[in-house]
Amino acid sequence: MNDLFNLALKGLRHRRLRSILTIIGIIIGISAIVLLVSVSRGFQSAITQLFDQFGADIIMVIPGTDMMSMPPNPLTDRDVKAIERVNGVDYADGMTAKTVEVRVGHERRPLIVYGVTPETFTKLYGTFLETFMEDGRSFREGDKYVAIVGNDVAHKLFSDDLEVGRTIYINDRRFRIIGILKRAGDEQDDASVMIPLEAYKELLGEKEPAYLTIVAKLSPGADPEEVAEEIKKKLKQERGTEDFTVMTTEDMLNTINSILGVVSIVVLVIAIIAIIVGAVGIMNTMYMSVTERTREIGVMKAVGATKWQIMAIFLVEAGIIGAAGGLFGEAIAVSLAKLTEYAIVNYGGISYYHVYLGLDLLLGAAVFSFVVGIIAGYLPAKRAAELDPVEALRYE
Amino acid sequence: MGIISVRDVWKIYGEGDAATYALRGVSLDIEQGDFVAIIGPSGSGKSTLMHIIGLLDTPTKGKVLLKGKDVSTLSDDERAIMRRKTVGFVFQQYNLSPSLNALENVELPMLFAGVPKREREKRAKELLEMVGLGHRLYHYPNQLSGGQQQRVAIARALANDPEIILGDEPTGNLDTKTGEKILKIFKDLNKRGKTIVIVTHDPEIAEEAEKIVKIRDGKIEGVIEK
Ligand SMILES: Nc1ncnc2c1ncn2[C@@H]1O[C@H](COP(=O)(O)OP(=O)(O)O)[C@@H](O)[C@H]1O
Ligand SMILES: [Mg+2]
Repeated sequence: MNDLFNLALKGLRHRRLRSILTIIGIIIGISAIVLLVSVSRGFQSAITQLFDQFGADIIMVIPGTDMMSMPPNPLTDRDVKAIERVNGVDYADGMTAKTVEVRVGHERRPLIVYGVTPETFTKLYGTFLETFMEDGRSFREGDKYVAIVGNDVAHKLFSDDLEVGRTIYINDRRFRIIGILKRAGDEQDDASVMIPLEAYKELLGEKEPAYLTIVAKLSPGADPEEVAEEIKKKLKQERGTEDFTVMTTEDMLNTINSILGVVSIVVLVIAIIAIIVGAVGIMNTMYMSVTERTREIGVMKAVGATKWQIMAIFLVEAGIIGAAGGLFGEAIAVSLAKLTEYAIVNYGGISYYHVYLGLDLLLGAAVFSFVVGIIAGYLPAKRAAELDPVEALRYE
Repeated sequence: MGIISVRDVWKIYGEGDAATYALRGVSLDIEQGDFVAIIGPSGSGKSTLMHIIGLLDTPTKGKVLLKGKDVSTLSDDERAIMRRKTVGFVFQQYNLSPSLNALENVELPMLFAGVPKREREKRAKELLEMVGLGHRLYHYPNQLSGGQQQRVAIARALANDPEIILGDEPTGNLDTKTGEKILKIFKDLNKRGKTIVIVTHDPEIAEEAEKIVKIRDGKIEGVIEK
């Protein structure tokens, strides 16, 4: 078999240019598939990592019935209380925000200021937040005039580089920076400031803040789906209408996965078409090769090649063309994947994103393209194997 | 009984009115160690007879015995396996694989016979040296002259050490001098015990054989033994 492999390779080298032209379809198809798998698996593991830290025992309530429309009625403290009364909810917390002028020295900048409840915020996001902290700490109970600032606030928006311990002014009230977040990559997130809810209410004169999100932490053992159902019922009762959305971590994952799924299907369809085109190309080349080498095939038979041996030579030849296309495709996919990773990390705001380029994927794609080649080469190889040696030798 | 025994062999191409009778009842016995020349006009059936003797083709009617074994009913692959051990072909157009160098061309029959690489290479080198091409092992066919290519082809025919060497107008494409050299190789092989059957147009070459078989219109016209 090894010898037949070498024989096929030599035949190929003899017709190098055409062999290269043939593999373009396979190159496109394989690179699309590998890129798709590596990027989307990268997303999946990033998301899973995110939710692992976040916890599966979280339910989010947001105003509005779909993610796009603006909230008709804001969520309030009454809603937080209502959610906390639901069986299976340990505690709940709302998050609110407003664009406010923030001053450092003489410089004033309009920034998004979030109000959060220190204890629950830390309980909810504590461990999660730590991986996002560049410096300092999260909120603790009793904190009031302190702030956690986004990376741009600390390093970019003001001429002074702000460190933990520095003072900023919000509505002319002094706040001490206790934490600085890592770069998120998102302009808005990086320009935000978080302060305890109590200070927020006091400063901004909001007795009843409108919450952008209410996050509920489940008691141990509670079933997220059931609790989400209960929350929905309770809030509907309380508010009169269902103008809000309740999402479990599962739901959020599903939403993201279904978006990835749609993208995957589109890419997959393109890839499959490219591979079919490539396979037809290989089949053509192989038919040409069989016709051109008719006499040679006759000679091989004359010197004692069996049908299977002739067949194997041409199958392997087709397989090599396929695998070569696959390897080229992989090389392209790896470069594009790395580029994607760079873009997502630096501009997409997911600093822990890594594309997946495992050996199983690369090896699998190479084997797959070899197999595609073999399948495409089957009919031409069969024709070669069944040539009548006498006719083949007479062929001009 | 001879090493090759052809018994009332017919080869008919096509059917009915369109039928071509390439061989019409040919019977021929060739002994071990014979040097036989087959002569006859173009289209008389020489190549067809050669192909049938060499297990490349099967008769429409009649029997072929090779070393006493009836080979006319074997399957394609059975014939391929028997062919590789018992006969070596040399063609008019040399028919070397253009993608393989001289050494690899000679290795080819051994490759199909499953001979390990090292052994193959050793034997191919010996054979090429024997035909005087020890200095052209890595040349490709397009880098060799006609006579050199034909010598590679002879080395290839000898690769699996078959008892019978069949040459279908092996000197047909060569000038007289080169042709004589090739013929000399065949004669040397015959001295070493190989059974040689060559088809030729050239009466001078036929004169060198021990036995001349004249064929016309698919029939044997006569056999001259010396
Ligand atoms: N595949 C074929 N179909 C039809 N006729 C054929 C075929 N092969 C050979 N022939 C005919 O058989 C006859 C003998 O051919 P061949 O053995 O090649 O003759 P030679 O070698 O003596 O020139 C010729 O008339 C040739 O045209
Ligand atoms: Mg002929």
